[in-house]
Amino acid sequence: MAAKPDATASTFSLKTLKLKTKQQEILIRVTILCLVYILAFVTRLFSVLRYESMIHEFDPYFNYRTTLYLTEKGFYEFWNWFDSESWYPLGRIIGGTLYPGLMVTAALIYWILKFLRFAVHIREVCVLTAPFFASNTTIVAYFFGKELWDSGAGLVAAALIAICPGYISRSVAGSYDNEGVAIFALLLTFYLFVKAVNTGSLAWALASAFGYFYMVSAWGGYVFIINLIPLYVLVLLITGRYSMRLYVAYNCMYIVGMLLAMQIRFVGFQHVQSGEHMAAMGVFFLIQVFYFLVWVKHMINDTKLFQALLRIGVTSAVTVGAIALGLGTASGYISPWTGRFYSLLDPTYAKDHIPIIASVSEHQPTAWSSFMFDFHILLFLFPAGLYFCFKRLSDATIFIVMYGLTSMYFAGVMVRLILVATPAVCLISAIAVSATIKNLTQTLRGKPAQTLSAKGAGGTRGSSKQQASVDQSIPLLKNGASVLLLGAFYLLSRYAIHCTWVTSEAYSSPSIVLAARGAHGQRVIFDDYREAYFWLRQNTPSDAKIMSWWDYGYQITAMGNRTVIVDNNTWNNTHIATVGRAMSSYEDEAYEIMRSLDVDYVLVVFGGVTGYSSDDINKFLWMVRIGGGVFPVIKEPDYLVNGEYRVDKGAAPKMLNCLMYKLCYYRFGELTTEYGKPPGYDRARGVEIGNKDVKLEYLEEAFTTSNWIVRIYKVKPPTNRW
Amino acid sequence: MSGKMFNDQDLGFFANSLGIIILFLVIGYHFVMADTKYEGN
Repeated sequence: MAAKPDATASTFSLKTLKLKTKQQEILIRVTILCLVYILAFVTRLFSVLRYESMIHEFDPYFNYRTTLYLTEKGFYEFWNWFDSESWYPLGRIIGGTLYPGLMVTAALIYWILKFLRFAVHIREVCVLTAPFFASNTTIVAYFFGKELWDSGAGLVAAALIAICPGYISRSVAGSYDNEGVAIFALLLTFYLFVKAVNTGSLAWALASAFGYFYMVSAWGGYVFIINLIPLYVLVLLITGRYSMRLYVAYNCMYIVGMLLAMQIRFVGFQHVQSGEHMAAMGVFFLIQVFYFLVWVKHMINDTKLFQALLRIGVTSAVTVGAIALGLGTASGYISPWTGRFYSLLDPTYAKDHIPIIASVSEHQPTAWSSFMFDFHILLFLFPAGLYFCFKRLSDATIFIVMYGLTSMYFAGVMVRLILVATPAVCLISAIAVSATIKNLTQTLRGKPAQTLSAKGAGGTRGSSKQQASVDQSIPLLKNGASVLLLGAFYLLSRYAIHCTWVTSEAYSSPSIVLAARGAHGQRVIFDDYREAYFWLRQNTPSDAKIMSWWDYGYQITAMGNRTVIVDNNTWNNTHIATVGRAMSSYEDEAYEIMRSLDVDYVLVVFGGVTGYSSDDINKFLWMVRIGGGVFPVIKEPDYLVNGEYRVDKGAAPKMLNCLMYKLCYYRFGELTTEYGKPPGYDRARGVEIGNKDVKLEYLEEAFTTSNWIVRIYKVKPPTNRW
Repeated sequence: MSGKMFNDQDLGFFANSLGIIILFLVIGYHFVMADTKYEGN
């Protein structure tokens, strides 16, 4: 008798420990989401651990400089900032020519942390903004996946997008660029819009309009949203899926979103004036026509009469729209499409017409290998996911299919747009993974009860025989399912390992500090860029004007604190072409140009000693092309020999004597770079240079960094003329 | 490099294991959801 209460107590405690399925589900779901949130953040920290907490690459330096200005001087000063340190002598109106979303976000985070008494430097906030938003993106991806399919797909989508290299490439710590927050905003807008279409709720539509506003404030890629959503609405209209929910969602999102977007000065009235935004407006009017027709149909109650009205109504609406568009374009009220937009639709356009767009490596068409590199198994899961989406077509799955297909096309046109395709690829692949695993686990856990009841129904001997074979096949089926499940797990874990490897090896390089392997396998760090910029800051007059190729403009102003002639904003092609012309002219001609621009120092980047291949000699042909595009005296064939670009003895005479060649190879002929090679052996191009005896007449060497990566020359004042 | 408390190789190991654990949990989640007694099904 005494032992009985003990026994009941132990069973009671075991029972309370055992969770119900619902509780298990919630526990695992929340655990996964928390772990994914952490993983998305930490996997982006490789560069911080390997180098230090610093801003990467080129554009982020401008963003950092403006954020610093914003936190120091306040929003209104920032909004009205006229920057005289860039584009000398033109200057740049910063407030009117940037997307302020990123800077304002970082400044807000900084102010909140300061308010909470966390003493952090604004640089740390800038460095960690992108990983933080990547973590937030995983949560949005979960909800989006849940909306599209089920919570299982949402979890898979969150896990996939957290580590997908296509997204990591633009959101590692230190990559403080617009895309870091824009992908979050993009996915959020799409999720809220799909939610609005699914529910027909004005609140969700309003939220999506605000998401769109955030996207517009953060990145020029918002044009993708304002074209994809109307395209989606159009497809729904054509396929007869028009509903009141769609009407509410689109109208609210478009009107409020457009009015909010107009508050961004860089965007201004483009929503009503630019050709890129006209599709949205056209669909807006079309959906009003639809609404009107539905009302008329309700009033008339006569199919034949309505059919005739429908034909006349739609035809006249389309005609009026086309005429309005034609008149607007002809009168100049609606601006035509920009070059960037054309180059998206026609991949060869930029190559033929706009060298400044084609010169940027991230604007090149994508190679197959980069798809494999950035998506890994998702590349194969994507079509499978599309199959599942088509099998269960709904308003939401139609959206994700359209998003996936259009963004995949754009990703093929330009390498950098892989970024836009990544969320869609992750979501669609997640549907494939989740649906497959669901089928397998259901087979694995399927109760034989179903087959028993089926057996009871079958009466004849033949069917019982059949059932016996089915019964025998059930263990086989279960074994098969578990093997396949193991296979799926293996594939997914390979994906995780691939992603970490890619992030660590390829996407965590700051490119302002270069790393290489030394002769004994140890890591060698080249910190020449910062060395040069700090030299500029310390050793040149504060009003000195620095001429360099536009790539280094943002870094010089941000780190060197000196005025530059051109920078990465590339808004004035003629100005850039003038610099290109100076670099590709003979020294005396270049001197005239530099005098006219008040240039005090010239900065070139040279990789001949270290073997660094993205230097100015390798970029030189683009300077020639861009310069020649405006000044026909510069001709590309003058720098080539039989169509070949050479720097050795066989190089073109103009090449051997142009300013860029002289500045890069000055005194290089005396230097032995590699054992067993003659002096003046260029390691980046693997040749012995052709002009070892470079003499400078109008410039003098001011500073060369320890590994010769950056070389700075002083422009001599004019000689005394009397 | 090795003097650091937590270097990039450690981070690689951590990220790999966390990624694999998450994907394992995801499969576990589907396994739980496939329970025929599950109230949500």
